[in-house]
Amino acid sequence: MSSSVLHQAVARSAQRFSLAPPALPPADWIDLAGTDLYEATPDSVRIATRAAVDAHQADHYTRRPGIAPLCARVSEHLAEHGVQLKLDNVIITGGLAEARFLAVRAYAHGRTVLVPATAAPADYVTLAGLSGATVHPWSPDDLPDVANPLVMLSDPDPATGNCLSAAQVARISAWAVARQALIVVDLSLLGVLRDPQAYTLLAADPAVADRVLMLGGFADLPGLDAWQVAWFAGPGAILGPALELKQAMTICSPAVSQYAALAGGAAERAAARASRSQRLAAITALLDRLGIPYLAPATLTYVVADVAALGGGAAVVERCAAHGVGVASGALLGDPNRIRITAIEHNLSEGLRRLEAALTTGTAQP
Amino acid sequence: MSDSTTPSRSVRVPAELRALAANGAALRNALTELAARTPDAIALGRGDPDLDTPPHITAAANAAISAGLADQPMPPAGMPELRAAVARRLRTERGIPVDADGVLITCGGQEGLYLLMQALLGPGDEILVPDPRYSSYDQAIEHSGATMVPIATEPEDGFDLRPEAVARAITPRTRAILLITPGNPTAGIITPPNLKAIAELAQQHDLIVISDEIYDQLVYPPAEHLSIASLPGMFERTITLNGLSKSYAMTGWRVGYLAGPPEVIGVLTALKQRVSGRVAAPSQYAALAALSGPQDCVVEQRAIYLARREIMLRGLDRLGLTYAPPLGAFYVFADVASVGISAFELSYLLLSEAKVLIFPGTAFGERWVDWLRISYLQPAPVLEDAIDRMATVLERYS
Repeated sequence: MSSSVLHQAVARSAQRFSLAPPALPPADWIDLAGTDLYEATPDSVRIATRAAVDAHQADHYTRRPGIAPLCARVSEHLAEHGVQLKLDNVIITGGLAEARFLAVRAYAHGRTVLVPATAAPADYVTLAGLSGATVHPWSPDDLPDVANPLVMLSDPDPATGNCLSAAQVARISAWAVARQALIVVDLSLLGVLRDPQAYTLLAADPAVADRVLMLGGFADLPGLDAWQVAWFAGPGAILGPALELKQAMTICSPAVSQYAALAGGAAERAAARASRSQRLAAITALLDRLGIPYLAPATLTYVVADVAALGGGAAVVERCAAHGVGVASGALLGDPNRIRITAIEHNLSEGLRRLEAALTTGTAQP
Repeated sequence: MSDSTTPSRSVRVPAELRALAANGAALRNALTELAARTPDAIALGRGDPDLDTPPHITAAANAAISAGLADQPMPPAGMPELRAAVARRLRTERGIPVDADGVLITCGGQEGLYLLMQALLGPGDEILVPDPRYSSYDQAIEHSGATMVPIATEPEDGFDLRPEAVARAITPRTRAILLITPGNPTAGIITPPNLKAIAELAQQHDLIVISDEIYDQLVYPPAEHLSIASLPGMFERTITLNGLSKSYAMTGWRVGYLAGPPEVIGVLTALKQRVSGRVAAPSQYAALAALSGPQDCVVEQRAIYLARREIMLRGLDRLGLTYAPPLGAFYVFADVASVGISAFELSYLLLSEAKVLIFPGTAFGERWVDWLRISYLQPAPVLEDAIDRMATVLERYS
């Protein structure tokens, strides 16, 4: 790298923020490791979005927090889980990464940031580092004695797809009130729960609702990952810093993507659930056939398998990579003996063929 | 000179609005929201072109959506074809020696600015910023831990940035200088001789240059645009920031870009991944069509703005208000000291009584208590109406 003042400045940043340029996957790689399901947007969503574009609804800045009907839809969705927030308490973000950054950067100042012991895809540790905050790991079963913390709580956990039990939620709620904690619940997988009725949302507890912020996406609709649209929400009394930061960062989110998220209806959601269930079943069928144990999936997106008998997560990840397929390593999940397999739409069959080869034939090439 | 926050005469500004008088971005937002709730209001506030995004651009976005291309995740730095189109434009039109790997696509120009501040500055650093300034810079700089050092610009200079003012502001802690030409809110430009002298200063003092050129295609004769990164020895220390919002009426699509040395862009890409992920795919297809398609729309829109500028300037002359002749963008920065009411209060009166949204100068710097930023992003008849409405308020309160 050259030694110009510009290069020196970014070199310092790279070190300060642990930034490395993103690695590009090899050609012909199939990614069963990520959070992207590689789905296609439904035709009905495309048609409705094109109509919005033709009507020039995508041309201009939107209302700063987001288009009102989409904010209202998020509000209604949260109401289904017992959380009452007005549409003015919802900010539409340019994707989940931005929502997670808002959560940490807008609220970390002067607080200890408690991050999940199992690293989430967003890597809250790095985000807290960007904010200059002190970081402390935590888990729902090990609530630390820290006053006034900012708590990052992923439920369902994007690392594992697991949900907190009602008892865990109650314990966290009481602890949060006692410690004056501010909690951000990452709900990015709320829309893909296998059993929404069994889910307990922390913010629905009136005792703690005034200190809970939430973020999520539109995962119930297929194919919106590349459109970069998500949301951040919370009580009006504590939402201000996020709204200000969002404005300072990007003014508003892409209008075209907001209209796409608005376009999907019940039929698209039902079709997505059916398709995802089938894909999940394809993964579990393979694991059953190979005699590999796995956790009962809480969401329609991942299966977490126990590969201790195959040498552990790291060894299996390496074998899979040699076969041109990526699976998430156990290090992400807090258990080195596990791997996570994502139920992608595009190329799942080929991905599972390669996975089977990796799991049954060792390091042989595809 | 008035005081922006002390009530003058009998002007009663709501307390919640007065509380925001010193917070530029929040004040602009609050006034914009108030205007949105005001029936029949004429918005001369935000820099959001009222013109439609040109049809070949929306058609390209729709074609990508139809073909399923918009569903495909983009590379972290942006679509390769779009990065190449940006580099091609900067090389051929601006003389900046950049290739596609020196381009990062961002979610609007504002995100580019936020990323730059976090990546290039740190606690203890100082960054020089022309005053008045686009106040959305403030939070980005604050988050970096650096200190903003204003450099005064003057109406009698057309708000040009004088090299001697820059030189006086440089200290051992100065890390970077932020340039914006054409300027917001002043619509002034940094003239080529001054820009060259500032480039020499940057080299002498080993400063980073951040060059915000978001209005570079909206420069009116006889003014000319010069990109500082095209000057000898400047590319290695300059990041050029630009976007599609202003020149192609694409504010809602949120596409901007940063251009600079590839290794620097690589780290900025990594930071962007952490902060906000990728730029929306449909927007990138729209941006590609904008940059690689016919450019008649840019010429046509510039002609429209030029005609509107004349209407606004004639109107201000009629109202007896003075201004530095705007040489670019789509703003007029007007001196309203003769009215005898602070610009903050006057902007409230204009909105509440005449239903015309105009931002006070204090939204762009503490010093500008007697100035208004007027954007002329409305059709000609609406601008004429706005001027008539302004006249009624000025007559009542002058």
